[in-house]
Amino acid sequence: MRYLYYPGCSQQATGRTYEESLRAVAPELGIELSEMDDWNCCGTTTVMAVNKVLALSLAGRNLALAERAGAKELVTGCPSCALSLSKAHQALTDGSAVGAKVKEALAAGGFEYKGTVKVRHLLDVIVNQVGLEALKGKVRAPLAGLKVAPYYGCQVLRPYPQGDDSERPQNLEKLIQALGGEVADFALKTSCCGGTLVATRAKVGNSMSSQVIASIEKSGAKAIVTPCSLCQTTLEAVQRHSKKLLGHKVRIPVLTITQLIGLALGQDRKALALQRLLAPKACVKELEMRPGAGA
Amino acid sequence: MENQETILFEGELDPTFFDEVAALPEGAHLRSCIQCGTCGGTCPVSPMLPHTPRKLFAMIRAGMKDAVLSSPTPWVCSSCYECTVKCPAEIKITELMYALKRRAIREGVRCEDSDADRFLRQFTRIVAKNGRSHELSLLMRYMMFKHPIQMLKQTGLGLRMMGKGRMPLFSHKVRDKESYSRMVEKALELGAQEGGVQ
Ligand code: SF4
Ligand code: SF4
Repeated sequence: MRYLYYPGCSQQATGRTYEESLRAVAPELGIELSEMDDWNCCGTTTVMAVNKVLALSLAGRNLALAERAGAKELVTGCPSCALSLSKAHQALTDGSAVGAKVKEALAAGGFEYKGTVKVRHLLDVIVNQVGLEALKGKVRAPLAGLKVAPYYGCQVLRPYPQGDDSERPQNLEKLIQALGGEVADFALKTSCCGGTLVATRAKVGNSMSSQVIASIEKSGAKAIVTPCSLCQTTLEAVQRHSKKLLGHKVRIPVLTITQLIGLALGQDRKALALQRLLAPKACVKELEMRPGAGA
Repeated sequence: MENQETILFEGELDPTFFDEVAALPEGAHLRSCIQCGTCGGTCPVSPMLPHTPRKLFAMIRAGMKDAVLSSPTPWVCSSCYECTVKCPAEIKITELMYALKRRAIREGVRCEDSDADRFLRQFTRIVAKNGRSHELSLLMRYMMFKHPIQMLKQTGLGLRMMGKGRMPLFSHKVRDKESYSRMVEKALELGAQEGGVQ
């Protein structure tokens, strides 16, 4: 399966663990990704608060480039990018007044978007396109006995659910099970991690993310898996202050979906960028050395 | 806790504010708000704020323009879309929060206990110029002067991220800068008509 790939800015910076592990597991899953040429920032939630036409044009330019490249689908691992791109697709195809302005701005740069590209999040592609059976067939080091917390966060489900039920999502649970792991049950699966508030309202952001961590800790999970690089960084970072925020130290490694898959495929720490995680070495080692890892 | 109420006189209200907001694309269905409180009940940030989305919409209806535009709620909204998917009146609450932020920026109304607008505009400037965002320069520019203490607190994390190769020093830029800039310029201009700013 060939896909045009939109990395997004954070995937190549704070979210590098995600992109690097994606590059490692994709070929094994039969996914061939070609990175979109000369892509730009999707505008995310930030530009929308400043200038709506600019926000939609930023995302729109990427859609136009994807269309120009002949792609029917555009795949990204970042839920926030998927959301911005989907929003621009909607504005550019619903005949709205703002859509007309966005078209005009695109035209000023020599771009046009007819509306033929479908934006898909990586989790949707893996679960619903590659498929769980194919995935199971690739598992060499099953996650037997490993209790993993499926943490969705917000934007992979809301407002555009990416190949899942936004109320009762199952994709992460299915993924964990296909990899031989055990699903940890906890309440705040689809609650916001507060990551967008870390710089501007640290207290509120930390309170949100520490609640998520507390809920996960209670479930007895030994690892957390998320389809979002912002959630990944936020949940990792807040644990550094867990003593202060929760009264005791919590150290649960937070993995991206591609890192979890890679572990079950028996790939090594370098390939999966495990050395880039903020969790203490010992916790990560425990994951690699778990019984049944076989390596 | 002492409950402080401010009495507003009718003369301080803006009778056209509700109609203006309701006329925005984001304001569709705002007239159908039944004040059920579902939004506030699902909102993860509003328990820590003076106004839930429901309360903010009641204030809009009442014409309390200044209080609405200086409310911290839109600035602290994390864009989690919990409210939007649950609102029985199908009000696009998250989008409305964006619209209120844009309006506040345009009118130069600052929320007294948040300078998130500086952060958002700084981010926008970087992207408008380079085509890609860059966390390090954004955080530096946002925090250096106004939040030196918080910056020190975050330095540990920043350095750790750098050590892990997750906070690159240099940013990428789009290659076809010329056509990108033409698009951005046009978008800024058209966006200004929509109530946006640079
Ligand atoms: S959930 Fe919708 S209808 Fe209910 S108070 Fe909030 S905005 Fe109004
Ligand atoms: S989108 Fe904003 S207003 Fe709505 S529930 Fe989330 S934080 Fe609250």
